[in-house]
Amino acid sequence: MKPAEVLVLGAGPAGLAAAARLLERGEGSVRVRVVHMQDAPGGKAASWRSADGAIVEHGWHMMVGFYRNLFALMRRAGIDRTSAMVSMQGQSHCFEPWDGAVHTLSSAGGRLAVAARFAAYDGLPAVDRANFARFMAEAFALALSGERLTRHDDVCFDTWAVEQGLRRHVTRYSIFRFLRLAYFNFPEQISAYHVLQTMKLMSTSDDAELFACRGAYGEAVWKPIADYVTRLGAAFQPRVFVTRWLYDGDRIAGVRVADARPTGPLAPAHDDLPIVSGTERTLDGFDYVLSTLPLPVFTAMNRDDARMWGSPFFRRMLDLRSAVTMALTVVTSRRVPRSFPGPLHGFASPFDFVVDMKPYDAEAARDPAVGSMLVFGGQERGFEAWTDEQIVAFTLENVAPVFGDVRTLGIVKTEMHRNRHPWEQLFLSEPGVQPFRPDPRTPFRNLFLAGDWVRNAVDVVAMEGAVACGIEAADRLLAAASGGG
Amino acid sequence: MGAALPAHPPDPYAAEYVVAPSDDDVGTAAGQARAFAGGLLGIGRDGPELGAQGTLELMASAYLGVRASLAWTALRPGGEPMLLAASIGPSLHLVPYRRVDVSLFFEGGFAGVDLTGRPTAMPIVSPGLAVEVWLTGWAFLRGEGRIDWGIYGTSDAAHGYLRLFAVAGPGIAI
Repeated sequence: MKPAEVLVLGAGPAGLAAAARLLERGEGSVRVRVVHMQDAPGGKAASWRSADGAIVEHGWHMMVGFYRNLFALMRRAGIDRTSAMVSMQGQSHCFEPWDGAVHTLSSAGGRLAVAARFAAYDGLPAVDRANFARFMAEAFALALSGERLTRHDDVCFDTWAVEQGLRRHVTRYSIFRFLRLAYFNFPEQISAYHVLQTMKLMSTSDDAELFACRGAYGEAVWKPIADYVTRLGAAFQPRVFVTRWLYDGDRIAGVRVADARPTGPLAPAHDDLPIVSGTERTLDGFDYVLSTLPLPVFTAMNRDDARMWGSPFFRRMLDLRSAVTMALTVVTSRRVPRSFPGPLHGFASPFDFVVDMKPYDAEAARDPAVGSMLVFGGQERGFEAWTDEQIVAFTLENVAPVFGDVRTLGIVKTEMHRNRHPWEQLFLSEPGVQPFRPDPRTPFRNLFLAGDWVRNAVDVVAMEGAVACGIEAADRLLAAASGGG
Repeated sequence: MGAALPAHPPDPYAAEYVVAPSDDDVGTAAGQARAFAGGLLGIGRDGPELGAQGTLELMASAYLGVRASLAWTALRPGGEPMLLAASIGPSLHLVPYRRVDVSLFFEGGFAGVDLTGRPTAMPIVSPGLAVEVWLTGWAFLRGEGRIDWGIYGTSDAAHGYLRLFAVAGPGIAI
């Protein structure tokens, strides 16, 4: 029997996981071609090398202990996790402006210890602490109860917490805001479902462990996985930008594409699509398409097509939104006076958390010219009109209560980028999004969707969500190809 | 010191970081654990009696709670039995999230009567009504009235037990 030809669009975590799954489970019944817009795989978790050889990431990423599907894929790809990733000692931290102190959250101990430590967080005054502890204990109990958590999707976590008896002002503490910052939602709200689902996923110390990459994500993780997928038989086509669906009835018959210009933080800024004019063409000859395109890219395609976007399945996607994440790296020649393992949250937006990557990044660790490498993350909303210089100045002011005046440590480099392009944006898990997120299966019988914005078993906006979704979409596609779905 | 940093516009979200309890952030809410202790004034057949009551209440929702009370009469007329009663039951709060809340409750339990003489166990039921006034987001004053009714036996007879109690005191909620 002739193998089914599958075109995978995108080589981020979802696309790589889908391609691997198709070839691992397809047992010769599928042939896979992966087209993606960048030079290297990784999608929104890709990394680059600047002219001076320094690593430039799309943003700061970490892996979390519950990333089981991704770790399994890394293992199958031959990646030694212990050399690629380094544990951040099970710690994260919150700066609380009201007392000017940094408070540590440790994930050490068993399941109860994780919940108890969170509930006993010492960064609040006694009365608020009691209120917070009671609320968190209840929230953890609910998250682990086996209840269908999606029923809490239509309310923001702040409101949900107040409904559960958390006093309103307690939602203003960093420890509480951090639950919403974790997905780059601030200043937007986050769905209570997503926070409860995160508590469920991170309820044990192993599952809550945080890992940093020892080097560039692209080199340490995505490239070896892409190589593995290639060994399985997939063909990769980089620098291909997808522009339009061509369909015939309920079947995708072709995909319009063009050569992509370089993109990413090091590429020149441009407002139009990054395509090379005159290279437009149609990809066809496939039986199935598995799209892992980011939400804003997907919803921009065929927008003049009332038939497609008027259908209930696709129309609801137009109500979903994405966030413009930002990254800032400040390298100093001397060490910051205080250093913390893991991320430090609680600063004013847009850069609400920072990690000193000096101990984790192998190249920075061995470079004596690098005292500290502060990597900040956050969302741009509200700061669109600010210049990069203004944001850097504001950020350094914000961290001064913890690190002092960072400028006195000898800033040798600042690098900031705003992920404004549609293909760079991160899905925003706002309240009430679940009914608007599509399933991997679409009304086109040969089109399947994956990505962090598509519903999946993990469902939180993270690399693991994308990987889980890629696997699920691949399974659905294989079932359809075998006549079972 | 480093070079002067460029000025920047005011933080658009400065108000988001202000941790200040709001004056109207008061009242009964879902999930609250509440503790209340009050002085108890009872009116029985032979006159008034005095005691104390402690109540714990857990709010399953903003309206429905479960409460458990322990009441003890310390001073009573000679003809009345001393009472140590433990009871539990549901409560219905009519005005949650407000400074003044009114609730109805219906507890049931057991009481040990005549503890200084021949103790005997007595099932009791205690319906009642409570009014609470919130002073802060976590402290309140509560007054409640309830009727305790039960039947207890002594060596020679069965006795009806009926008291009207008024309780008042402070409480806290987390």
